Amino acid sequence: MSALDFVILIGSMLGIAIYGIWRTRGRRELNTYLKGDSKTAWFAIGLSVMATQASAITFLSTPGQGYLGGLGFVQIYFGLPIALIIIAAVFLPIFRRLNVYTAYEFLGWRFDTKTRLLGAVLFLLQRGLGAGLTIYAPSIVLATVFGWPLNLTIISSGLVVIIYTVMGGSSAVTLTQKYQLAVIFAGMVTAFCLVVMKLPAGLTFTDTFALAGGFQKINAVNFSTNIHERYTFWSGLVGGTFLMLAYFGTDQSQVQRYLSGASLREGRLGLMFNAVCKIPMQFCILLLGVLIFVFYLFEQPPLFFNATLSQYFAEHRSDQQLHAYEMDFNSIHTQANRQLEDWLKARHGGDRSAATAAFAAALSAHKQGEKIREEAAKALSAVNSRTTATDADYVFITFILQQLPHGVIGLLVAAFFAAALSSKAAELNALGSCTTVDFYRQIIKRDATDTHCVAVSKWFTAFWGLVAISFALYAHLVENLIQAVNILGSIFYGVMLGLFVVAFFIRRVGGTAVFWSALVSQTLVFVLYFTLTISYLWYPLIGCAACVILSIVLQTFLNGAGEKSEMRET
Amino acid sequence: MKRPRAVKSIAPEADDTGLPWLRTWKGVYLVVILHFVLWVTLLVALTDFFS
Repeated sequence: MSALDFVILIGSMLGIAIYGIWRTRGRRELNTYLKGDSKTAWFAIGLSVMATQASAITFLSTPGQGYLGGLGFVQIYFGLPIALIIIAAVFLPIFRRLNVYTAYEFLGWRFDTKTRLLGAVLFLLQRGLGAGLTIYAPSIVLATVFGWPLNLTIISSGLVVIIYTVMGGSSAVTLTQKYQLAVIFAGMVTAFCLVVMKLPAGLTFTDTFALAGGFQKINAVNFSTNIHERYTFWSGLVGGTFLMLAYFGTDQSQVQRYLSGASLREGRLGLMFNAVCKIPMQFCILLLGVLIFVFYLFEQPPLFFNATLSQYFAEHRSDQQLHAYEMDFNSIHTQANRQLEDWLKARHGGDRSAATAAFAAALSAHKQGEKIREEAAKALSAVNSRTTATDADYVFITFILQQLPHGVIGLLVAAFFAAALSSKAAELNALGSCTTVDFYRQIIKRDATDTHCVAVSKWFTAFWGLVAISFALYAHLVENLIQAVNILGSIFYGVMLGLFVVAFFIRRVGGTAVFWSALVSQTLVFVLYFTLTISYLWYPLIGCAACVILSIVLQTFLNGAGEKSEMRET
Repeated sequence: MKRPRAVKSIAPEADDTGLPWLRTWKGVYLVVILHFVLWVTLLVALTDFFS
């Protein structure tokens, strides 16, 4: 990075953080610290909800997902518009009428304290672990940009986020998220334009898509009914609806965002803003990854996008072996490149048979190249199994550092940090407020004053930040960050959603029935996850359905037992 | 047996969205669904055309 990059990075990040802290300085009321000042307009809520979900992982890992798997990942968002409509129509009016700080307060009001605490525990477990993954993403950027050890960057960036969140509270989070999102969008649009400009001169728009389609990257919608396929239209629409309903409707980090609205109207419009914008936004980010894939068909890509893997290989195997793999890989890539140039000439010349033959040869050479990559990765994992993680998360940052001009690099690194700060701050703020409201003030100190609760909430926020840092130190073991976050959510969200579905829609079920049903259902989801190979998108549906059905059955049984008991008494 | 507390009945939804062309929330939700259907159709067309 050059001096210009550093000026842009530090200037934008510090400017936004100082502005947020200055505007919200001296706030001591619990209501304001946890929920904001309840004056937020719909556009700010919409941006805040978007920024909370769109962490650094979204902007770092999703292009990598597009590079590797194509556009198919967009299907995970197919359930989002339906989920947000249900939340706007049903969840939000009730949360607002009860004037709750956390979503789990509603469970306490509807059922009992133990069910409220169960909901809060499920949230804390899931979000506490997920927070570790969102700290890991900007650490990858720092480690790659500066060449620092990954663990050092995890701890240092984690501490920065903790300080920022503890000082600001919910108001600062909402206030600064719109500026952070502006930096993010500026960075991503610039990157998109530059990738398009860097594609070979003769490659037209349709050539690019035809090429990507030939390599199975334009697979946006798949109507397969095979439940073992991870991303399909059906898993996205049905499973995705439950996943998004659970995330936006029951995860405190999101509930806290739209509860800060000035009115019901502002909250609803903020959610509808996301229902409309999210699919196009994710499509564009995945398309960016696909375009980077096409770019690297004509430019020599590295054997490993994660440079530290190459270093590790050279240190622990041998320089010669690494060099041999690199030579083979580069040679195959040159062959594929020549075939693609022939394909382009034949295509533009109208010679379809020559174009088909050249493309088949290029595809075959590309597959050989991928085999060499796999062999090199296997050789690496033979030395140390902890280094087997795929380097998809490094694709975009490697492209940025190697291909983009100075100034733009600074802007994009600033975009990653803005995304990390905005989502991380919202998560930690939600974790701190949930622990304070649902546990501390409910169990430990019921008569705590607002000033005391704000102070305690800050300590809990810092505590969860440290838990997240600890978990982030092990995040390198996951396959791909954006998938890992969604898998983690899928395991916990179903049952949490089940609690809320019973609370909202099945009036005859009480606290005891739903509490035990939720525990059994969560155990069932764990067992199924470790024994079945179905797409993870189905687990929110399974967890929710199990919780609802078991609750009804158990309540029927309890009613029967209760009636008998009452009859005996009389 | 302790009877579960029921959720308070929800008051009729305020239909005023404050939007110039969409006066009711049902209208807003319908537009969001139509936008979603349009996007899925475009994505299906893109997949079919380039695969």
